[in-house]
This record gives sequence, structure tokens and C-alpha cells, in this order.
Amino acid sequence: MVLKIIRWFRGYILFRMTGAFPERFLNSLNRQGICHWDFVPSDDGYVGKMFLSDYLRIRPTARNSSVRLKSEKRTGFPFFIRKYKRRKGLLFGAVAAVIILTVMSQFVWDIKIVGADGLSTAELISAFDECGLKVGIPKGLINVESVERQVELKVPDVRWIAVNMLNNVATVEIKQQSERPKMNSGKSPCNIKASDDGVITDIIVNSGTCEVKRGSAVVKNQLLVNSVVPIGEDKQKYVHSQAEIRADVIDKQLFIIPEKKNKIILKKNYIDKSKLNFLCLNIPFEVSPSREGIKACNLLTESIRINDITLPLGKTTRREYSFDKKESVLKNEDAKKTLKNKMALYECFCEGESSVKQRKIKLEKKAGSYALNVDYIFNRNIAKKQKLTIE
Amino acid sequence: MKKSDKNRKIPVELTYSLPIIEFTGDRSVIVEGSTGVLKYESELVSINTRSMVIAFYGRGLTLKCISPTAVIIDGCITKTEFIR
Repeated sequence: MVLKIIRWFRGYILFRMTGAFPERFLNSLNRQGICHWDFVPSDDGYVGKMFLSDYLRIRPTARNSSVRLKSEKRTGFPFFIRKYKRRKGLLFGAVAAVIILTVMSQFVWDIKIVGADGLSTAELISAFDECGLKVGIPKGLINVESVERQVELKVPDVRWIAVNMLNNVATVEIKQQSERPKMNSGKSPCNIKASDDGVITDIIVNSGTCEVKRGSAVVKNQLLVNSVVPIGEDKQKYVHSQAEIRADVIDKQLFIIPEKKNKIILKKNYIDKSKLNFLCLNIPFEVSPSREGIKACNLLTESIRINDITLPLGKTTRREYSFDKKESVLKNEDAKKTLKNKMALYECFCEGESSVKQRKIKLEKKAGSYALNVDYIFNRNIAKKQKLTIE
Repeated sequence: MKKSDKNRKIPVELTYSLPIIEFTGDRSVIVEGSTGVLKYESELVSINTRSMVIAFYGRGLTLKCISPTAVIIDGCITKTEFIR
């Protein structure tokens, strides 16, 4: 294989030899130390191969040996170059490609994060940036151990980190801190008391002695399930009471919104400002005047990817939106609708485990605001654990 | 002359300038001490040495390698002739 490569680079010729004294020619070549190979007899003479440089200087020898040489095939780098001699652009392109590849291979093109499912990628990339690992930085300037140490200190959720530089991609493997398990407090004895006033509708007691009955009214902090469980006639034991006691509970809520409201309206037209990202350079190529007033923007970064490799070339578009500020006065119907939405949110998120049995709504207009009074009857679990204390 | 010097033998091939021929079955032959190729055909290859001419007969004979002092012949060799 190596021999083939050397031959290709030096260039060789497949020649046909005819004449009276081929053996004399062969011996002359040997005496001159000229290398030739695959020299075999053929129908009308001999066929062999020889380096281009040797072929150019064997003409006198061939003449003396009364043989004729005819080149049949030319192979190798010198002929390849000769073929593309006029097309200098190709040569410049090849040289430029080699230079670009050599220079670009000295930089970090992409950062891949592996194993940080519960952590924010943006936060991690920002931490890497501060610690000296970012896209576009020369690979030689990265102190991997220092980056690992600093990131561990900066991001407390990272338990273990390893930065692997593979070609132009920095692969960061991260292990997250595992959450501390909750202490099981289910063994200490405790009573269950009522968290609200109400009428009991349902009782499920898993452990402990139930002190109330279905249909009985209870007040806040009344003992519902006792942790003292009798064993036999004289003895008793303390248990960790567990129960679900549901009761109808009366609740009142007041939702208020102001009558006058500053409304921010998004304008339909926006301004795009684009930048070309090359390594760590950001070159703006689209300049637009900035708008006055309230603004909001979003950033969209697009990078070129080839075969799952992100090239350090891309475009970042900053899209600027502007807003109009407008004062609006709420109508009665709109206010009711907004307040009802607030009420629905309260029921969904604050009373998610309770079911609404009854709801009475009353809309009032007070000085400069709308108020929605809601009288609820919730059916909720009122069991509240209370540890036993010894005085 | 010492006794040990008497026992020393000079190789025969050096004394008479004989060629060294090494066969590998009937497929290949290496001739060391050649001075040139006299005949090169697919059925006959004649090699000149200082003391004799060696003719190899066969089928599909090719000169695999030629150097000023050695020749390697490949192919099916059927007969070898030494001509003085």
C-alpha cells in the first residue's frame, strides 16, 4: 500500500516496448539502476511500468538497444496536477481549505451537555462562559480541571462534572445532586385535629381512635382522631394516627380588580436585527433604528449543522416588538368575566383537593374597583396532624 | 599457518563464482549472481552468470524483480538447464 502511494505521488508510466533486443535494454536498465516493475511479455513485445523521472532519461538507452518505447497510460500526481494546471482556482481552493481546516480545528465549535435533564441549559452555558469554556475559544486556552472545579462551585446542583474535548466539540457530562429523601415521620405518635369548622360527611380512619361521627359538627382544632389506642382492659398504646375526614366547610372569598386599567397592546409590526455569529464574534449585518417606548425582544439563534455537528457559523436574530400603553375603563360585564376567571383560578389552584358544593356570587362596584364576593361551601379533608408533646 | 586456520573452509560459490539458486516449489526461483538476462519470453527465461547460463522453461514466466546481481522469476517452471 505504501509502495503504491509512493508510486502514485512520483507518477509512473505504463509503456509498451517493441524491437529487436529487449533483453539488452533490460540489462542496460539494471546497470543504470533504473527501477521498473510488472515487466511482462505481451503479444507484440513487452509491457512494463516505470517512474516518470526514469522514463524521461531512458531514451538513449532504448535507441542503443534498438527498441521502441510507447507510453500507454500515465498515472500519478504529476499528471493529475498537469491536468488541472490551468484551473488555478482549484489549487487556491484546496490550499484555502487546508488552511481553514487547520485554523478552525484549533477552536471550540460546540458545547454538548449530557446528563443535565433537571438543570437549565442556559444557566449551565452561562456558568461555562464565566469559567472560560465557550464556543469560539481556542482549545489550548481551556484548563479543563479549572473549568470543572469552578462550575461545581458555581452551580450547586452539579454533583460531578467532566469536560471531554473531542475534536472541536466540548462534551460536558454532568451528574446532578440527588434530592435529600424526606424523613419519615410516620412513626411518632400524633393526634388528628380539625383544620376548619364544618360538618363531617365522610370518615376513613387507618390508625388511631376516632372521636367523632358522620354528621356531627366540629369546630377548629377539635380532636378528631385520638392517638391513644386501648389494648385489653388496662393497657393502652400511642400510635401515629392516620385518617381522611371530609367535612362541609363554609368559606368566603373576595376578588377585587380596579375599574381603570393600563392596558399594554402589542403592535403588529416588529424590527429584526440580525448578527452573524462566527466563533465568538458577532458581526451585525442588518441595522435598524431602535424604537422608543416599551419594548420586548426575543432572540433566535440558528446554527449550521452537518451530520450532527454544529459549525461555529450561524445567525442570531433579535426581534424587537413595541407596545402601546392604553388606559381602559372596565365595563360591568368585562369585570364580571375577569373576576370569574380569577375565581376559577383560585378554585383550581388553591382548592384543588376540595370539591365545591355550593357557591353564591355577588358582584359589587366600590370606589374605583369591582369586587366579587363568593360564599362557598367546600367539601374538603379537614384532618390535621398534631404531634403529641409531653410537658 | 595455525591449525585452526587450516580448518577454515571458503564457500564453494565464492571460490568458483557459482550462482546461488533458490527454488520455491515450481512456482518461483531466485537466482543470485546473475550478470544479465539473455532471453525473456513467457516460456523461456535465460539468465547469464559468471560461470554458466541457466535456462528456465515453463509457462507464464515473468521477471518479478531484476537487480544487477539477482533475478526473481515467477511462473510455472517445468525444466531447468545449465549451459556451460
